Amino acid sequence: MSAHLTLEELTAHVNGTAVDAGRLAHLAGCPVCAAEARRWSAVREGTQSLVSAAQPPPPDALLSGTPSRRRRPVGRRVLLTSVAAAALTGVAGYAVSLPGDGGTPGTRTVLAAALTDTECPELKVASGTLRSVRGDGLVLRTARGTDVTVTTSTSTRITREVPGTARDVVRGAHVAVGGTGADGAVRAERVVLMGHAVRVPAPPRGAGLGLGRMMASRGTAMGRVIEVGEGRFTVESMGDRVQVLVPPSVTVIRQVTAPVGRLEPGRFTVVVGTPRGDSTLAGVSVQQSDPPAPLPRDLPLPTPELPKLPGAPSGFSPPAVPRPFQGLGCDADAIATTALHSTRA
Amino acid sequence: MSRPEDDDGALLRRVADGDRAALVALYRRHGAVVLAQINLVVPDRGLGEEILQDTMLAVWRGAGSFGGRSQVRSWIIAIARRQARDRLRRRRLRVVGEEALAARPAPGPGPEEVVLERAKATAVAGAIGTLSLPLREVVGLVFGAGLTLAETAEVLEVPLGTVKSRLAAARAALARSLSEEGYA
Repeated sequence: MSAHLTLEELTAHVNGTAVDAGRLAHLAGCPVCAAEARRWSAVREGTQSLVSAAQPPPPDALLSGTPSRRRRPVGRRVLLTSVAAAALTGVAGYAVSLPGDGGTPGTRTVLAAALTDTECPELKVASGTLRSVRGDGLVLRTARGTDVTVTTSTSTRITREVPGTARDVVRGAHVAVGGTGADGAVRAERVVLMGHAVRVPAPPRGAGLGLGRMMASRGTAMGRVIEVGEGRFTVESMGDRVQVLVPPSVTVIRQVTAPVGRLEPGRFTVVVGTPRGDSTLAGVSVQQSDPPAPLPRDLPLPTPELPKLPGAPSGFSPPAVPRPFQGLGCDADAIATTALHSTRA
Repeated sequence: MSRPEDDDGALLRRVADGDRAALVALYRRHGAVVLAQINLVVPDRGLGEEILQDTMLAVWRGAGSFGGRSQVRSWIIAIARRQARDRLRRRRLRVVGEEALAARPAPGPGPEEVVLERAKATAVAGAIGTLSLPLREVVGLVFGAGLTLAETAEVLEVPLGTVKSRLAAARAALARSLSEEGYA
């Protein structure tokens, strides 16, 4: 029998970091190492409950304490090039914050009706089909037929989805998985690799453990990949570890950064931004999906019909359904990703 | 495909560029873990939240100095440790038992650590609070913040061997504490 697992290996395994397959095989067959792993696991669970209990205050006070910072100076050559390009096209290359005399009350009302609120007072969400793109922004048509004009700037984060392969799913990747529930696991039909860590909406109070497993039973998982194996990977989804089975037929999509000019009209697009006085939306995060075969129309977040918990007292009320962007605060990318994979125009 | 470390690195670069939204994103991603680590060191929850605020402001000011030789999370926690020590020093608060208990020799054989397997997570959490500071910190960094042993050694500025011995001592102390609570 090979040597027992080292403390580094045990702690890595308990923390969900991938360990060499040979060492995992030793662990599976060694009662000494298995006992060690269980005991360190107990320590980890106790520590994690301290992390769960530590609830940092909202970031508002944090932001109010941050003095203005000058952005790193743009190289003179790059700046002049940008200005020259803007002069040639006749279009401002940067979003300009206009005074509130632009747009009529009527157009501002129409814009407001086309947008979805978030927890963040400044950020709203527009989703729909991309109608047109230009150097400084785009126009989106919502499901209700309203056109939303979006301005973009160098600070707008823009991503689009491109085809990927199963080999792109690696440990540490952030994924959204759609498929069918299969004995506690998810048999993936579509895997979207996010270009960044995505916060998932906060579970409702009182939902307790098992939200990730509940979503898995409905064929959905969202979170960070913690382990990759042959034909499968494990996702830390809403606090639960969920196995995802990857058949050869799976569709893998990658989310990649793109300039606004690479966005394709006709595709479903989500914009998270700040409404301006001229009835435009200043884009903070723009994400475009890849057709066809989207994820299920609605990400199956818990419905009001939560199963009654065994042993629950009579009259127990299931916890409230979470709002779509609950717990995402001002994280524009997380809001956009949630909207992109929760709804379709 | 980007790794979590790359994502944090990109966020930090944006913070260095003056992007407050990136600072908020880092705060949301790491705030709970950092606050939990601060709480292991500082007795006062309100003070702990102030130290967290100071830490994030230090991240805001110093983002450009991150050299990329460690995880961003390790770097932020190291800042938080320094902030906590500065604050406690200014308030003339001693962290209970730090120097004395760090030098205490390892105890003899204690109760079977199988008691750990029987205890509830909340009981283990409570027992962690009774550990000496050096042991609390190492448990928090390895199992709360998810750092490797080498990263933990770097944050604590101690040798790797010290981290290992403190972890072992922590587990033994937890087993004793839980045994006294009746989990044996």
